[in-house]
Amino acid sequence: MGTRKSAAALTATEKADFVAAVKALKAQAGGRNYDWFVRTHMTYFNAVNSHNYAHMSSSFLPWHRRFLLELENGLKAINPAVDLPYWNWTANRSTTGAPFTSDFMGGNGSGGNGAVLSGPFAGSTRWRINVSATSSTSLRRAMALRGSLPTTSDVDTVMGVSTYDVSPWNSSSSSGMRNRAEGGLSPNLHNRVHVWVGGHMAQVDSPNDPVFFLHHCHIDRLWSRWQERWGFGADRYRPGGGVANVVDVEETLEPFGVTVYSTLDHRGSYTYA
Amino acid sequence: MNDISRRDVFRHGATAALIAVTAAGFAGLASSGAAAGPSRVAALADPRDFEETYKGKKIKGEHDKANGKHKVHINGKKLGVMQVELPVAPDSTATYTAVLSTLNHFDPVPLDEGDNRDGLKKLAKLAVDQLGDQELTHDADHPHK
Repeated sequence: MGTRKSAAALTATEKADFVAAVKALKAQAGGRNYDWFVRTHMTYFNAVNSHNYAHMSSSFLPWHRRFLLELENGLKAINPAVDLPYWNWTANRSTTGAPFTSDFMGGNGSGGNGAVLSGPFAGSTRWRINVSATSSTSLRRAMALRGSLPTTSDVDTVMGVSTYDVSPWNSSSSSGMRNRAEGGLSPNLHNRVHVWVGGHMAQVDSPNDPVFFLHHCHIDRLWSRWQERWGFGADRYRPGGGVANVVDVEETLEPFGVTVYSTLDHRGSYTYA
Repeated sequence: MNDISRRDVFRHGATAALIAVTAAGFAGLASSGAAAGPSRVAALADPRDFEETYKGKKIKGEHDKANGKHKVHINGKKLGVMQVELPVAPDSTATYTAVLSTLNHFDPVPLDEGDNRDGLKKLAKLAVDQLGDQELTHDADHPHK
């Protein structure tokens, strides 16, 4: 069982191991390599088989929990010592501090929305963008030009909402924890961070930026904190069943082939430090 | 007047004005004896449609008021656009319409026929800003449902 740590707490070896494993997954030919995750995220941004599995729906959190676990399993197949780290953007808010250091995720893009110039993912020879809505083959960022990072107060607001989600279970849900965390509803923990990082992170192909997984790992950590407070049980997930075109607790999350229920209690697979 | 009712007033007011203008257009066509054809198609186009150059890139937008399947092209390449409904405030049943694209995927832009009638153009310009010196690829035309 793994322990996921803050990116700010990683040792130099842990950072180097994570970067090496991510690059090895990128270099893997076929199968569930790194670009498979980029393509899958693009496909599942929208409805598949009349279900919004991944975004603007109740299953936003379980779908991404499984998405992260699939990537982490891929990294562990390369190096069993690797665990996904998280980026706690309420504490680490600088464009030059963790995780955006030259020995880890690298820094900002040049000229506002240009290619990342520092770190192991700078330039197309070190990290080539193969699947994207835009033509750049180098990773791009435009940090702090748009959007803002959530505050501790924003997080506390979301953690205090006891109901997981409400009808109509999509972007227009006017209450519940899920839409407040995802971003259809204030204070918006998830969407605004994508916008704040900018570049590829603002696009449908946002997993091209490895910081995507650190951001979503923190979102998953916050859901875990919410579950510690309000419960890990199936009764805490909404909708409970019988809602057409919405992924109920016993329905299967595609393309992973597991139910929402199976994702709810992660403590047998990993915990957070 | 709160934000919700002000938004509704703008929206309904603009809709009424649009109906009046459209009706006048039909009346003008009937009285002039204009035949169906390209000129009639043009008369039926959404007045919010646009085609212009922004920061050196040609942007074209076509609204689909009935189905929300709007179209945006940048330098002739299609940008995937999605229309969504969002709550105006926590615990409010009122919603507003917004659009997002494959390039601005987490940053919805309000779109209506009132104060936000140019929302689709704003979205296109945001996409151009995001592109900078890049162009769209075929993956920018990701199907939205």
